[in-house]
Amino acid sequence: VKNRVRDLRADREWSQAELAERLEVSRQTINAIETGKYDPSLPLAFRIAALFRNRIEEVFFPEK
Amino acid sequence: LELPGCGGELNARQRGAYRLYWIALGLYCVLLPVAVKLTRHYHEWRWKPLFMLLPLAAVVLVLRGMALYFSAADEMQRRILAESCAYAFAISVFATIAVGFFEGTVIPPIDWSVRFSFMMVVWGVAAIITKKRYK
Repeated sequence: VKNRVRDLRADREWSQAELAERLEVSRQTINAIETGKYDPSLPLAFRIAALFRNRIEEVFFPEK
Repeated sequence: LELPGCGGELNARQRGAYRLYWIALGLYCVLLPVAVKLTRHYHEWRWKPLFMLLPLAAVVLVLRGMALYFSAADEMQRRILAESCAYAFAISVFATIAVGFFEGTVIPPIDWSVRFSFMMVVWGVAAIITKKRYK
């Protein structure tokens, strides 16, 4: 699964640590999601999308 | 030294659990020789096995620390812990079976505590390797 988390975070000028704090996860988890090493669970994906005020399919999408 | 899995940045709950884990391990190191000494001193007392329950209290605290640490971890950290634990279990079972064939013939019998220590070491190594996969 690909995602736009890094772009959305950069738009808001948040650091990875800041985003991690808002989502109550570790910074390593944010880094792993951004680099595509880890696919978040559905509840976390929904929380990420809600935080960026996007729909989940606008943040996460399948790799071609 | 760290609990297998996370390391690096710990949240407040994880730090608390981590502290409990190490304090309990320290307590175990103190209580074990005390229990052994008491058991030897009161060797004729029929309830002497009760002394051996002393270190068990510390073991319970160690497990409590690990459980708290796990519950305070986020989903990716939990996955790392679980994956590495599964690897450690699989490797340890394989090693135990493989060594079992040679035990008592080519190599001397191996104490269960050595096997357990081996599994813990493998868990630690597996956690480091698994963690790298998500970096």
